[in-house]
Amino acid sequence: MKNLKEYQNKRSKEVKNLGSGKTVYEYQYNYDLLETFENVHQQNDYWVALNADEFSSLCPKTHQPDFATLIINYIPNILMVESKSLKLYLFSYINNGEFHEDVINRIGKDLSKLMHPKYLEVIGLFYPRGNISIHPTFMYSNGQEKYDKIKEYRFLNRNLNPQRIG
Amino acid sequence: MKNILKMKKINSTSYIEFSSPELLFLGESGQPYRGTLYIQYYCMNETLDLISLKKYITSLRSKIIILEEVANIIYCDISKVMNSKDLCVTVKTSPRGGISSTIQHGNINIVPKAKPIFFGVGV
Repeated sequence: MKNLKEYQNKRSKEVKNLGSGKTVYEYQYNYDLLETFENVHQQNDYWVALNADEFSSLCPKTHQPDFATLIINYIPNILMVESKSLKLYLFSYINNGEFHEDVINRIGKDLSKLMHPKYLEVIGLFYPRGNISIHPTFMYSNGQEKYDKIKEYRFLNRNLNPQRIG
Repeated sequence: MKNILKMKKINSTSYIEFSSPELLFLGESGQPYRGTLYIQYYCMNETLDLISLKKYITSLRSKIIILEEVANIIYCDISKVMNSKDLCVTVKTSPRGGISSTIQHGNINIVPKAKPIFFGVGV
């Protein structure tokens, strides 16, 4: 980017929700809440980790709330997800009933559809229910050899050293 | 509104502490607030029915509550259904705009424990 002003103009045009002054929270699942901005360091591969400690969804059958810590790790390609829109998107699951595994897969698919990243993984660490906590992991690679390798490595090596929880 | 909370008769005058890391309610702006709820009291042969407490906590998910009033509201709902001594309600919420808060109502001599970290993440 040549100068700061040009950069600021570009960024403020890209995202609507951030700094709009009025934030509307939706309580029903809505994919359209997600916004993107352009990655200006496309020559580098780098990791972005998005940690969400306050994720909550509903059990479809009992309507009891489920809580989780979400960890989203990805290597951006051209588009990157804007974090405020991600916050609103994640809060929109508050009345959305799905099983833990389905929620994680849906978030992973939505984010890969939105950004087409080089690599993406979504890890859900759900709070225990009936003694059992469920930790699903979603993985996506854009099909290039390097990222397929990362996906395969992380898939094969996930949770090799199980540990006590709590 | 009907109070979901129920009381249960017991033969005991013990000190009781309930805590739940799964408190969720809507703030004034509609933004969901996540926090931990602590309820501490000396029971006088009456205690809270735990299933009703669980349902009560869940019912807060869709309520708009001013952050500073949350402990007061829960305190009132509990004291309506149950007699106890030194009841204290504490709500610790996660940061909003960099500010985290602890709201206490009742006998505030009791210091709440730190928020439990379940899986050691967040670093």
